[in-house]
Amino acid sequence: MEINHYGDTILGVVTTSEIVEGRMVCLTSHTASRDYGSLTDVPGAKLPASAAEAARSRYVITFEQDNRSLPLYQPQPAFDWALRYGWDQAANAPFSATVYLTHPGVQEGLTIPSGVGALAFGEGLYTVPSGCYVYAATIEVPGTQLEVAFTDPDKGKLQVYNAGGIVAEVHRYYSDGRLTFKILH
Amino acid sequence: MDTNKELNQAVAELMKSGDRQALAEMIVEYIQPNHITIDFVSMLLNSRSLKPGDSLVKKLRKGLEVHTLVPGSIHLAHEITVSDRVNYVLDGSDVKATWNEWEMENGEIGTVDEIRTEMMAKLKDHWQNKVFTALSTVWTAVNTPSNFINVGGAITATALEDAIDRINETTGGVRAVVGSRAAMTPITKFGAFWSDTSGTKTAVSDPAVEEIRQTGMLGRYYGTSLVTLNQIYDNLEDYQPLIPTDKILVIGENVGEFVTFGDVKTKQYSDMRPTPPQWFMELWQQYSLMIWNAQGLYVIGGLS
Repeated sequence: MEINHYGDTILGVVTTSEIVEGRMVCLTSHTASRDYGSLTDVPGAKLPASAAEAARSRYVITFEQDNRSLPLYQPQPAFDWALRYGWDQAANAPFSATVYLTHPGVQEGLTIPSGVGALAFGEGLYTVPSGCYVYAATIEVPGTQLEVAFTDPDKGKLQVYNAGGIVAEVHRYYSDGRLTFKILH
Repeated sequence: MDTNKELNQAVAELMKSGDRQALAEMIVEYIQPNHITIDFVSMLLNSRSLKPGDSLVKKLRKGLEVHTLVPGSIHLAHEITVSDRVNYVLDGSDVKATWNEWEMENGEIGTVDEIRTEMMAKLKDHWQNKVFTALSTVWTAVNTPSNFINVGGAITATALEDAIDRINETTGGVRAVVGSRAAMTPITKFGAFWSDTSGTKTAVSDPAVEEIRQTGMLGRYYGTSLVTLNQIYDNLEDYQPLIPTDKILVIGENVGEFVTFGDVKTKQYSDMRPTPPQWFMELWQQYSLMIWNAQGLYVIGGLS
């Protein structure tokens, strides 16, 4: 996903499932907690599962910023606590993880894990690659009104308005399949 | 009366000079919010300051072995072995305040320095609350049955002595017994007297009795130092206690580690779109914490 122009709303959220970057999400509750209570003050984000949720899915989701040294591991193994010197639990290394050599936030179309911090961008202009929306011929036309799909396998993808809640409109369609859209206020 | 006269003169001078900012700072009297002044974090956790790029892995090298010398033989060697753990999930805290510049000029919300100080204090409070949450999360009858007791009333001699015995066994010895004044004061009911096992002979420590009479506290018991913390309330409206009153901590060793990751960062800016402009100030820092030696602490909980 490419951020072209963002407005005043960039919310910190917690993913409630694995979500591909660039999907539209709505806010919800969650049960995640980290480091004895962190994340609990942040709303959750979910892919819409109903027409009502699709109508309020006015945020496009992406990875949170990260200043850890590369490579990055996802998930990052950790201990909550140990009774004795940290060594009385089963070792959490070596571990199996997805390794990122470049921060996933600057790549396109990667999946944000469940239960982690993420960014939900509100009103603004964003460009997503092919596969992040449901194609129709009219989606190539600037100004086409867009709603959010809420059924599998397209949950969270933008699609041409069809009696749902209008959340965005097409700004530009590129011949290589990228789509720039504007999330409406 | 003299004080009022001086105040009136000072106010009059400021009004005459037209220095409204200084005037505002002078005439607005705040009852500031309170904060925890005891550093609970370092009381329970070692702390380190890390920088981006530092390792978040802990490694343990186990010891070597000695074998019998058999002259002429090729003796067994032991390859150096290392066990490692990935410890920290980085976290962050952010505090951000905003106000209109008119509000600042008329002193409605205090000075920039006051608010910055308040924000730093709130960050520290937030981390202290992490420790309190950890105390309630980790030390339970299920997780740490040997290092926790739910008293269900006031502290008793048996509960306190069992806790001190446990920490003396599992660590190098008790460094301190810490609790709020409300939780600790009942120790004065039994701490200055000594009964034999039959209960028929009781010895009294006159200095201890005098200490209790003078201060309401007892400084030492069962070979340990008692640290009594006076309660602090957040502000006069909410009036919530900031120090837990339901537990006493018997501290043997630091039970874990609190790491900061980079410095406290700050930014301040004025949004010029509204008129008058809106001022923003923000502080944030990354950190992480881990309880990695829970047996170094005994929690006497369920006190009331």
